[in-house]
Amino acid sequence: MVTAFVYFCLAANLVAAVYICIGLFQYFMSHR
Amino acid sequence: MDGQTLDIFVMFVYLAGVVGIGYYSMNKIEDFDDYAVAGRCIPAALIFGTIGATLCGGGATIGRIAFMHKQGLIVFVALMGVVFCQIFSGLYIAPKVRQLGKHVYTISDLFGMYYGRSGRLSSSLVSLFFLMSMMGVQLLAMGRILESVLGMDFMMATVISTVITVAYTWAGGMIAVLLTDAVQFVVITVGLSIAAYLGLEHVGGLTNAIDVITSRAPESAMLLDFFRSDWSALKLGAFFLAFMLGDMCAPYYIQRYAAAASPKDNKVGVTLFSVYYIFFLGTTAAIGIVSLYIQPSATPDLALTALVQTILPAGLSGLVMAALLAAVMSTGDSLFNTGAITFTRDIYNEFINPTATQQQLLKVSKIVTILLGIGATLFALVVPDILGLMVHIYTVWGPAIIIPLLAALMWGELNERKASAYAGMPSILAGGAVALIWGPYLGDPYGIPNNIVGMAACLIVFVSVHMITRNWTPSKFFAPEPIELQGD
Repeated sequence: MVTAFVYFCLAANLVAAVYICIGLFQYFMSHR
Repeated sequence: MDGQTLDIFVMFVYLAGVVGIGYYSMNKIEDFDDYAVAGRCIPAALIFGTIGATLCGGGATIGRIAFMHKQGLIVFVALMGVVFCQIFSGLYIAPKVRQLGKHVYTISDLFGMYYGRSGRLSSSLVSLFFLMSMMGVQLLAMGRILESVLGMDFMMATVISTVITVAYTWAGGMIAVLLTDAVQFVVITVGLSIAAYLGLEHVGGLTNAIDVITSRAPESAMLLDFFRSDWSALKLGAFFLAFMLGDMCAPYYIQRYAAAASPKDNKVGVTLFSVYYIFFLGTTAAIGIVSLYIQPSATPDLALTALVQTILPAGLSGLVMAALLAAVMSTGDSLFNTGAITFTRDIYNEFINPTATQQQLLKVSKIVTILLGIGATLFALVVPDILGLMVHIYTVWGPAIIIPLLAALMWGELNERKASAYAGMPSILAGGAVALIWGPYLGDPYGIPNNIVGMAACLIVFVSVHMITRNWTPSKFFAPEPIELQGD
């Protein structure tokens, strides 16, 4: 249970990182 | 290429990237609006990233693992205060700050709209004090990371990391800060995830690590208790409140809320982040458990950097070190930028040169950024503990600012101004002074934490002054500045 939660946390980190990368990409595209 | 050279190379690539973003942003800066609030066009994803990078700083990484070694998992219970604070801010504060329009750059602009120049001056002084103190903490953490990775002299490491942070903040202002924050947040989350994953592999899984730690001496097992028997409810409550109120409406958050493209971007970005923060806490808790398993007697403040160098292969340890450096740099740049903008907007533009042009304001804020860098470096070299000082400062910020700010933003509609304009300055001064005297000076008498006493003093003064002056027409120093609401 605890282990599953920790791995879920790691997955959430990666999802957050991807979300930010998409935001950065969109920002650079709209401010070229 | 040997291990240490590879690590240094990875960190160098990261630092070069950050400086590159600073250079890119420098070419985008046209006026003070770009420098202070990035032209007010930041989407929700980058609001998420910048709030994240600012909150996940030296205290949330190195300081948190240090706390695990000293007090254990109970800190994560107290840290739920941050989650509550961010959810509240995302739903109720951040959208309203953006609604208050194009004249909001700093938290003191909000105070000016509700409590006149008296509110602006007193809140800006508290802001500057808060920011300067926190800068020391972050610079110290930056120096420690470079010192442990490069084996460099601590003082030299602190100076080098400060120069890089000040350089890109000076060059690109808030645009550079927001973009580097986003990149730094990605590096932090990926770096810490790798550290946690490989750390758990190294110790044979989380369950095994917990079993081994709990089978050691009772003091060791106690570190894994979410509710330690030697912590009173009052002590836990004080830490919870310190974390909850400490970050609420901090100057660097208000400035970011003002930079959002719309109130909705703020609501989405900040609220999403607040939910995500629970998982960030889970990640650092796992790393803390790995650290307790592998190096139970490590020096707390050096535990995380030592752990990374012990368990990670060359290259990856460089990446995670870059992540830790990113954590402290991204908080440091916020402090430099917000400190410079607070001084420029609330002191220079308000009291020294009220007719200053956008270009004059831009010039002054750039000069102040550099001066803050020099001042904070001197401060950093005489302050020893990371988290201890942050908690200490947190306790003064909340009592001084939260009540008058919430009364302004939450009481009635934004342009109703239900609170008396005379209540702002006295309550800020009373809350801040009582918290300072009760905590640092008297040492929390009767075990009652200074944030509670300070808030109570602030509330009593606020309500009393409001009741006496609510029918007065504010004038001169207390006359509120105009509000120009912007739609959703």
